[in-house]
Amino acid sequence: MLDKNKLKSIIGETLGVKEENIKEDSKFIDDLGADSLDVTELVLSIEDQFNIKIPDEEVGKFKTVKDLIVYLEGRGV
Amino acid sequence: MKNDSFNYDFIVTLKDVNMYGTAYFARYFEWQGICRELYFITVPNFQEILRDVVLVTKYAWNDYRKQIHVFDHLLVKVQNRSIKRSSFEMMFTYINKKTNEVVSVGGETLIFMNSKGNIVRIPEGIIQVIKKHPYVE
Repeated sequence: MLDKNKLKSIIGETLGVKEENIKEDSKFIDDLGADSLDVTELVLSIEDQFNIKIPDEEVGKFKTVKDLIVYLEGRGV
Repeated sequence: MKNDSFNYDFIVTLKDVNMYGTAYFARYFEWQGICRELYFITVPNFQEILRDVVLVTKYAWNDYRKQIHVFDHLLVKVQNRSIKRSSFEMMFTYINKKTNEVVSVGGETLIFMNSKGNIVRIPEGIIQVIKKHPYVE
């Protein structure tokens, strides 16, 4: 089962935002101040922390925190 | 931490200066490009690494602090900071060798992209080299 607290911690650390400001419907770019490079960095960090490989073509599909949760849960993380 | 850097030194020549003998600002970016090339060719198998990825400059800047003039002898120290999984900032510290003053500091945020245009991890061979030269202010 996905450890959402761990995910939130990774998002906060990578994007430099407070965890209390990270909601499931938060948009990475509009709400959390990320750019495409930040989102890539986030995905690479998730790969390392959860020991999975996320294909490059998936990265552009992650618009919100929820998108990421759904994807990771779908991967059985 | 030990202040290791890749160093490049050169003498400012007439092509670099205006009619008053002062270096053009644009030259600093040109020198950064030269330093970057010379730095990367120290990376083992750099040409092979570039078969899979391309190097992209996301952002470049230069803080111009003091004028330099024709025939000044400059040392540029190349170091790195903000080393992440997908990007890092290469720093350039320009020092007038005669006065030992820092005349300019510049930086470039660098990323790597694959043939599909996706940002990818910094290749391991490059990570190993850039970590040897951490930026020290």
